[in-house]
Amino acid sequence: MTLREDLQGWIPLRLLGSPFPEAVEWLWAGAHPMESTFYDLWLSNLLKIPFNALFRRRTSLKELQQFAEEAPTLPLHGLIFHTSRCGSTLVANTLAALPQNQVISEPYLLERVVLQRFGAPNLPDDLRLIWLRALVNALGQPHTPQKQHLFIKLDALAVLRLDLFRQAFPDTAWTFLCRDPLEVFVSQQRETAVGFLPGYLDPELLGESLETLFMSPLETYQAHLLKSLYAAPLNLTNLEHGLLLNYTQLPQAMWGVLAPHFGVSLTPTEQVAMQTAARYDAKSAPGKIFTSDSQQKQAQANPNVRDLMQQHLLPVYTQLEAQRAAHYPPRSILSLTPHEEIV
Amino acid sequence: MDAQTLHILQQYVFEHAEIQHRLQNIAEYDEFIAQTLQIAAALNLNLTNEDLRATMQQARRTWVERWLV
Repeated sequence: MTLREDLQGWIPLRLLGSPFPEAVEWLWAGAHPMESTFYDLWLSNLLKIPFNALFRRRTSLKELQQFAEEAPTLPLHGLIFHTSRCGSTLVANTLAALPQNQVISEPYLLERVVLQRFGAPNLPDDLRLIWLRALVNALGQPHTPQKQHLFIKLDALAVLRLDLFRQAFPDTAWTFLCRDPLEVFVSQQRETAVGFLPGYLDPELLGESLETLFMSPLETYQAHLLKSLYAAPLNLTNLEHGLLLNYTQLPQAMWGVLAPHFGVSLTPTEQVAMQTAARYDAKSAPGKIFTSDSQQKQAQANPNVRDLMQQHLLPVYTQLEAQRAAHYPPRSILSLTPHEEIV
Repeated sequence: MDAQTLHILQQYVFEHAEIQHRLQNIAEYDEFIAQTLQIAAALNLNLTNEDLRATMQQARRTWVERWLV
């Protein structure tokens, strides 16, 4: 049997090896489909199957590359970067409403090769690139015969290495979704993601020293982190294949601009399917209609957060919004969509 | 369970599709362990219920601890 036949129905679980990754461990998914776009949630559910606690396959990097050569997997149609708490799950869910789209959200094993964690060995970029391409290919195994396009929504922190993704996939369309940083900040204060805590990332990724960041109050650290996230697209030499989006443009921009930017032309039925999916709150119990909480978050910001916003976030956000206005609509769709249809 | 014993057990199951399929479709841990122990015995692998449970627990733990550096 070929490696591809052996891995039919298996999905990549995690990386093995220290100090550098050496192999991938695979989990049997079989007839257990993804119930949401969050990849790690799918893995957690699959791990409840007794078989998966004992029988896991392993492939080396060389075998992974052989796997890629034996037969191509789904083409990567789009990468979604974001600042967190900005509608990125809504975007992923709306894309996933179309059966031909395979949407994978925030797979930790990509974050593992791309981001420098505090205290972890520093993987050279050339090795990160090799692993990144091999793992994206592995994630592109179609989950059903209907799947034609692969979209990956990354964890918010992944945008800190947007440069690496651009190198790995220079011809792949990408988008960066952001929101008024005050609202993101308040949301993170309310429910802090583990990646927004000091000690998760190597401070060099944020361009700051260990002493500056780790000895600062938590809100100051988070302000520096958010500033780095918002600045990431601005640090590229150009925004080729990129689309900057703001939370305020959702949901209409998803079918009006984002789908064509990602090379997906929609039938009227498909647009209705996306519009229906976009009505629902992506993070709540199924069936809950989405309502914006921007006003609420604006009101909840404490004086210190407002000061940090003015000092660290407003300048970069203003610059980002100027870039968004200057590049909108993106060239990728100008030849496809009459201007009057652009939202 | 040592790594070599686990590898032998895994490889045998991976090479026998019908056995693999049967084990994949067991939802209850007790039944899964009982059937796996039968396979191990047929391979002359000296494994106990505790061996399998400990290995499975460790595998689950490594997943929970994946964020640790």
